[in-house]
Amino acid sequence: MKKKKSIRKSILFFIFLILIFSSQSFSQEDFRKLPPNPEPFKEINLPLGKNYKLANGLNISFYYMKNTPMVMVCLIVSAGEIYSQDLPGLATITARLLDNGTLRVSSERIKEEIEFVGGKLSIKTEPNYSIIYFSFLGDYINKAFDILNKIIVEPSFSQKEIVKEMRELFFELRRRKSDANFLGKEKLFETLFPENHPYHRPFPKIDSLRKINRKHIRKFYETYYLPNNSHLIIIGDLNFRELIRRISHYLNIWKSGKIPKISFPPVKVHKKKVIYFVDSPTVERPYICLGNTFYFKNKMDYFPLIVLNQILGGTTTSRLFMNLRETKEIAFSARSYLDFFGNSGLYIIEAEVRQDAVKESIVGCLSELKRLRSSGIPLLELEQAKYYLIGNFPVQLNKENGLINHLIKGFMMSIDEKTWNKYQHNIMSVDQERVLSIARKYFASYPAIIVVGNRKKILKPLLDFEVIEVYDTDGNLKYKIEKEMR
Amino acid sequence: MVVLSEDHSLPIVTVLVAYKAGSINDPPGKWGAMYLLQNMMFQGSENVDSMEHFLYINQAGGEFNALIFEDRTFFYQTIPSNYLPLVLWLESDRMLSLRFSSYGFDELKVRILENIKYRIENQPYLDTYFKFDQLIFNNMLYSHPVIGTEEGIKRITIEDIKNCYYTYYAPNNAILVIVGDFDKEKTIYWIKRYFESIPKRKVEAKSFPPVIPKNEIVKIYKSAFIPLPVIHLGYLISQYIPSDYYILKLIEYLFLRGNSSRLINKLKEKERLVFQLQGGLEKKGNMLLFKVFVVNNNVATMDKCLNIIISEIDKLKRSYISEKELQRAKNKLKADYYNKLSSTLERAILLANKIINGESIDSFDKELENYMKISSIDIMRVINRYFLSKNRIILKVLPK
Repeated sequence: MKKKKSIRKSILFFIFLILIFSSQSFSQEDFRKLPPNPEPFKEINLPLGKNYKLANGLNISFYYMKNTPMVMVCLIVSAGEIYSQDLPGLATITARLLDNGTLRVSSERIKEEIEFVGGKLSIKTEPNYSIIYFSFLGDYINKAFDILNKIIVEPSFSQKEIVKEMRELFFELRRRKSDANFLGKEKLFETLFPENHPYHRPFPKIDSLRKINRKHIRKFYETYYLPNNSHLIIIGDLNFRELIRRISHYLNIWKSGKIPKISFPPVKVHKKKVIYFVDSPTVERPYICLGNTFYFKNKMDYFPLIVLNQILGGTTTSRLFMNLRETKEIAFSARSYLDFFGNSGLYIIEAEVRQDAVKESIVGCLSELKRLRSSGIPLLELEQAKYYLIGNFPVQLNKENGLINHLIKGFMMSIDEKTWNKYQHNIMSVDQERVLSIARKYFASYPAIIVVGNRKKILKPLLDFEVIEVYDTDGNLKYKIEKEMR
Repeated sequence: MVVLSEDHSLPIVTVLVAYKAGSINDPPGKWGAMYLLQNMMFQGSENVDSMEHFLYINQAGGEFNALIFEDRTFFYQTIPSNYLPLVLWLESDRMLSLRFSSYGFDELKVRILENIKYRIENQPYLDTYFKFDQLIFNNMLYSHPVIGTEEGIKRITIEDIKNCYYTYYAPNNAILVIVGDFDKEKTIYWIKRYFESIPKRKVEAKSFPPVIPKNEIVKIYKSAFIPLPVIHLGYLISQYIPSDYYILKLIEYLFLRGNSSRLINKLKEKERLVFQLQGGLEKKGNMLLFKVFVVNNNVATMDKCLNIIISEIDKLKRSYISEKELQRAKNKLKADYYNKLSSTLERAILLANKIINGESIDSFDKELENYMKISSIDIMRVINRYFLSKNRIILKVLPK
């Protein structure tokens, strides 16, 4: 392995000091009155990936980053919560147990080995995928791939570790029961997706967790943790051929298998005018979320969609924040975001609001949605949204895992690399006409409206709405109030 | 002082202005004045309206924030590099001519008081940290929350904030750090243009007073706010050989960084005695404090937990650490260091801290070498030298 070059060279490290102490007396100079103009914009050239497929079907994408002493590895496995089917939580618990030991090596020993290579390992489970992030010092690449092999190919799922991990997950889930944001999201997914759809319950559930045993975990692992069901992304200052040779050495023993085909029922767009109220007496600041699903076949719609989201509620200068928080002062926070799952997607508006302003906040969000569809976006506002996204792109890339998260997103969106790499260019080419047509296409139907809060304190003003369904924090319908009944 | 560090890997730049003043510069009794001033810095200046700083940065796609500590305050923004002159203009305007509107001031006070209330309710252990600092300094000036106290904030007037601003937010008490993609010549031009004519002021430097520990301090008190018992344990190192700093930092990794570090492994993973365990090496002026903070599972096992911490430290006075364990700590430290250097913001914070601490900023590589050459003999020597019972401070807090 090539010895790492000096980091001084890698970051063009150059520091110098200037003492600029001055004792001049001061009066306002003209140049201070106006801000300087920005210099010309610089476009980013992202590294292009090199791809390789191992004999066992594992796809590898490698991105060369010169002079980086750390290596970043990310394994994306199509083993997310939607595959847990009637045992929500199975995918999460399986993923969390991966680094808890093999038949030969204890969990403690694996954690020691990870720390020895300067490693950081984290595993997360999303609705579609389970993702393993592993960064380590480039000097220890062999040891690191050996660890990866133990985690992916040889996990033992011992009963002792299952009990330990289950207990931790129980505590987490119990804590979430008082988290208004989580309760709202859970209800939103249950509302938008039909019961037989995997997105209906994309989060672990305490009840079903109790039913999960070692056999289920083992079977789930053997069914989905397959090289031909996974994608490995690597970023580092490495020689590609040498890297492939090493990965083959450590991961070729990972056996491929037949991936079961699961067909999902089609997603229906929500149309009912109902308030889904989750009664949580401990919630002090009511949480509202509005959302709806959409079909997402044309991948190039992604770019006008994120511009539209930026205008609606992407940041603190967007419409929702400015309207609900700054102008009306009825919300503590207000934002919107998009989620994409294969050929469907979801827009979500969420806000933490004042107890006396829940109804006003919902009306405010609905009118912002209507405004997007009915009137065009002023040119200046559109350009500002685009400039934000273009400027913020490299700022995000500079953060820990910034580049790899961008690459993962591109992979999950199934957008080809050439298009994905022209991220800034694609944003720049969004115009008023396109953004309006996208608003009408994707934000057309009445959203599902979720409210989480203390029923005794906030329900009364909401009785003006057509239908209210009141649920407990376990998701059980307590009662329904219709307008004509009142 | 200006520090420039070029990195052209992405077209972004972080601009950080560090003022060498923090909560220890609060006027006595007016705890929270410097924090209030930090917030006033976003309320507008001569040529920038309230909220405009935020709008300028946001519209460029940038991010900004501020951080306050006991002896320093940082204002920073990361933005696309073509907006560098704009940020220098913004920072210079608020360094030169901050606006003091009484409306903004009153509104801020209300928000901070709400924040203090929120913190008391949601961070029950926070107050115990200041009780521990009081054991060391016996003076509220050095042991009050940076955000202030309810009584302190209420006492602060707009005149107090003006005094703090004109006393401490001066160019000769500030460090401007720029990290990222910039042209050196052009950047010097912009810096000179915006900062050179800001008049310097007479600044009274303030630091932590030296404390020479003579005997071990052990105190116990009861608190109505905490759900579980806590232990604060510290070794106060009032004088040290500068090169020993690196060894002490590595000792922090041996005991407290990562699941396989000695204290976390023993107390959290094996014995399962603690609910929360953290700590590390803190700089208090010219002194160092090696600190361990523990939230215990129950009162009955508190003493066992305390004995384990002390005996784990004392073990290394008598026996050498294995080469493998030492290397693991070094590798973890090295990886953390590289991860920090990979973000322009983290690098700017690192540079500002180094300058304020009076450390060399010659080369990051050289600094890493200082850690990599540490031997198990060095570890034993340093533990025997500084981890003594006479400079140990223990605070046990029990729930009422």
